[in-house]
Amino acid sequence: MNQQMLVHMHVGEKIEKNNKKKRYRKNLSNINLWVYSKAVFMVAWERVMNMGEIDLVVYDGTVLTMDDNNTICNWIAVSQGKIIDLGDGEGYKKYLDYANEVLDLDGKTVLPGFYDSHVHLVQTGLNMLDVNLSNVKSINELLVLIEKKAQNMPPGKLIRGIGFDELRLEEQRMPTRYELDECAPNNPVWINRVEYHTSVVNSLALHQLSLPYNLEGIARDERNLPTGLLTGKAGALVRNQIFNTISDQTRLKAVNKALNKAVENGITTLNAMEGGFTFHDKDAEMIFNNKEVFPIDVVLFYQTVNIEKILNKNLSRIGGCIFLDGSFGSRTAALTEAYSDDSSTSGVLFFSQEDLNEFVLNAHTSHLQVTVHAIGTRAIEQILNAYEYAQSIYPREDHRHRIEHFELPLEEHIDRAARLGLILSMQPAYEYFWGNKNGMYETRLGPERSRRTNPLKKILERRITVVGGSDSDVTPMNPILGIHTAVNHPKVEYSVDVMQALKFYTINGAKAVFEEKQKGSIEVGKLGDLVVLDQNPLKVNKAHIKDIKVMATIKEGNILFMR
Amino acid sequence: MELARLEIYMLGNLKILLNGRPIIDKMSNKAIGILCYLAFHKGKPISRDKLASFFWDSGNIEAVRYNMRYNLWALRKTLMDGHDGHELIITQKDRCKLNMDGPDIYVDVFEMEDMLKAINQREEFNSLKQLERIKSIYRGDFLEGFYIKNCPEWNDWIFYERQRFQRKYFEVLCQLTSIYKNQGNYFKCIEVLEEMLRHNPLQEELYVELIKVYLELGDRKSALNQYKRCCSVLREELNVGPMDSTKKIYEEIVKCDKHHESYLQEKTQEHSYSNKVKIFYSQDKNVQGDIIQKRDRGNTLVFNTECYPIKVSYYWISSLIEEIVTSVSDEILEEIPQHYWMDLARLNLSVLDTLGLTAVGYEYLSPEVEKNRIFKAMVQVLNHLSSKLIIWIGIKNFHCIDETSIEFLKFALFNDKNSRLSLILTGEREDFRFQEMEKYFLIEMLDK
Repeated sequence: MNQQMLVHMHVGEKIEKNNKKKRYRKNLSNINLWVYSKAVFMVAWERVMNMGEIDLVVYDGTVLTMDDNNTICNWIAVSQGKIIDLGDGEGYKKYLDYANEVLDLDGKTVLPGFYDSHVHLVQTGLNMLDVNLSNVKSINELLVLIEKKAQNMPPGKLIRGIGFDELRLEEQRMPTRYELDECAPNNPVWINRVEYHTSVVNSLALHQLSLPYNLEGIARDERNLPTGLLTGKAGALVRNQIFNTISDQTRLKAVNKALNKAVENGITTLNAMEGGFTFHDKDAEMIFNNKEVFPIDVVLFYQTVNIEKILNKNLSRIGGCIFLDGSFGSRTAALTEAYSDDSSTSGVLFFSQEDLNEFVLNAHTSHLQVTVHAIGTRAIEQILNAYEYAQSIYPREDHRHRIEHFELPLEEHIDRAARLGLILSMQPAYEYFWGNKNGMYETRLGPERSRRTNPLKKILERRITVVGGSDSDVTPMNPILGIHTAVNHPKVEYSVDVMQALKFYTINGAKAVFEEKQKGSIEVGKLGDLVVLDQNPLKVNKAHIKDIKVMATIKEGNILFMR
Repeated sequence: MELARLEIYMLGNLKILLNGRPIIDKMSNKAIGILCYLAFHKGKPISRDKLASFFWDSGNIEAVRYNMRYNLWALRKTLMDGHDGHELIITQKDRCKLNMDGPDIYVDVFEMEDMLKAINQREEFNSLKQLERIKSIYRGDFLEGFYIKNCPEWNDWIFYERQRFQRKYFEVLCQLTSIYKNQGNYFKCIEVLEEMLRHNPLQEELYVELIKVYLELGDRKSALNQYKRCCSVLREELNVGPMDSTKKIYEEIVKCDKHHESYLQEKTQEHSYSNKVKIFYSQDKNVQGDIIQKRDRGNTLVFNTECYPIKVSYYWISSLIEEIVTSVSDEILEEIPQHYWMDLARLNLSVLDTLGLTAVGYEYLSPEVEKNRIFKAMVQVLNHLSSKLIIWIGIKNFHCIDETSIEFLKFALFNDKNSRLSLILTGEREDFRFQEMEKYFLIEMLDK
């Protein structure tokens, strides 16, 4: 059974595929006639005649095509995965007798299938299989969760706990090795902190790991024995060892779980940021080897600085979260001045300008599309310098280099990004979770700087292409939430209009991976990737956009999900 | 009655042999733990209560004592203790110990500790054989894979000793790299450094050492590869670049590539080639033995080789081997140790026929190590031949010689200080291969 079928089953397949004609017809009211020229009709009709049948006809909806003219129509016909006709009125009727599936939208809204332009897909999936510790409030709560998991796990199998943050605990500390031994004596346990780089293990895990004990980052007690807490190099080595032991089969299982979630949220294409630091190259390799079997399109961004590896795989892009700096949450995003809640640090830069210039130039001259993670002002400055350096030595048209996150730019940075023709891959939902009064942005950055985060409107005014992503599982794969936040930005002056926000997750997403000729809008000849929403985002009260529900997700004419 | 032999291997996966037969499966984990602990303490009496506290919750003293008695009994039964009239485990009222006097007992950690002690006492920490032995004894971490659940004290003891032995092992590896390097035994040095990297791939200093060793070998390409490997590991695991000092070495190697003042040239000066070696260039493609005969009458060996415009690695070396085995008498060839010929047979099987050797399954070697083995064997052959005769090697169309063979020539000319060797090169003098040679060696015009 292929993966596509698995997803069909999981999401509750409503319509059987191929050769079985099954039609859904509901209220055929409110049909406005769309006057077609004879020539256009004949071309479409000829296609139907030649191809023999139609995959899908959807009608009686509000189809926001997202084409250059923002055309709105009310029906679409899809054959052999591609849109062969669309219009407003009753033009769809001529296809009904040839259609395998017919979907009466009953006034619902159709958009091009969503793009999520920044997802850590394997990590998202694996985290779904792990014990989620992000909500625990005490050591005891944590131990209960681990114990529960251990009871359902075969002895010897590793228990991974994720999302742990001791600062949210009443005890304000990590659990000890001995505490974890007691709640899971038969299983190795590995608890990873929310920022990934610190972990704690129980004795069995410590025993099984091949640790060089002279490694920096092994915390010890007064007897010089490891406490189980691993930071720095030890944390990195152990994380790598643990992810190395995860089989491709488990990864695939995890990814399918994550993809089901994506499909339920209307996503038909996502950019998977995989491999490299914090992650594992096996993640990227698994995506590379399986991309044909996923139910939706997964565009791989291999997070490596090894250009040769990318070229050998015939990939056309490099990077993703190649971390130039860290994050605001962990106070590692590189600021020009110290953090407001910790004056001892202004974050870190992981690359020297020289090293970054060399990497970007080499990738640029190898005709790759390049993108890196840059959150803080200093990191943004660094990557802009590197792109300018590369372009000055080897000017390239239409490179579509990107910057991931771009959270705290200066105005000057926006101008430079515009001049360079960059695509900015941003996560509007960050503002939903962190951008409000007393939110994480304000706590870390103070009132002045936190007013400058994610300045979407300013960026659009410079005619820069912005694409929307979730950074899953930092925020959920939910484009509707991203659209809502972009429209309802906590800093009102940075809010964008609904149509602009929709573009972040449709046509702009396609442009950001050179796919605008095949996807991103609803036009004849493009793929039949569609999402059906219960309400029209252009009409609904903007404060309620987040409540819009995805009713169906259609990939190349196949209904993958229907509520 | 013959004494039983008990062997306990605690470094790496636990192995216990009684008269050569594994007995681990016949004992409970706790009985094994007791045996290991007694053995580790080398006949020192251990309090039974202390031993019991490792494995049983002290809440119920009677139950603990019963468990202890039962496991000691089971242990003795498995070890057939007393069958030969000697007691292996001596138990007293509140203590017990392993009897080290009578039975034949081998414990790997004793050997390692004894050897380290001997080296330290004699202040001869560079005692190569003993260090190599320690390296072979250490099959892995202390009691690797032997974990007993709900026994925190026991497991902590393992962690403590594991750290201690590992630290000593790493010290031994460090000593070995330093000795091998001083001896010029670079291949062994590389092996040990790779072993250290297997334990700790994040230790940048080890990559730097590898780079230096490859440069000593004149293998610039491998040195650069190690730098790239180091950068890639550090970036992917820690998201950092290499230290400035590491970058500097890299930059010097690259500069060398661009014919600037360089690390390698400095090395070249340090390792000047033998003044017994002469390199000549002749415009006459057909310059042959007659000229040579005029210069060195009598004890002269002449090998005429030719290069072709084909990109096959080792091509020229292979043809030289063929020349040697067909021109030199079997008696002289047989004086050269067989293992050198076996290495050369990797390139040219005619060696086996000529010397009547039998091909055996070749061990897999990385390309770098294989190359170094071949180079070294070839140098030994030339060295041996030149101890008897003056060698002239004609290389026709030198501008077509393959890259690996050029590397070999440099390797041979730097490493072989004793050979009385002359090369006559012909071909297109402007070619980069001539320039490459001229960077390091003087090429004289051949005086007819």
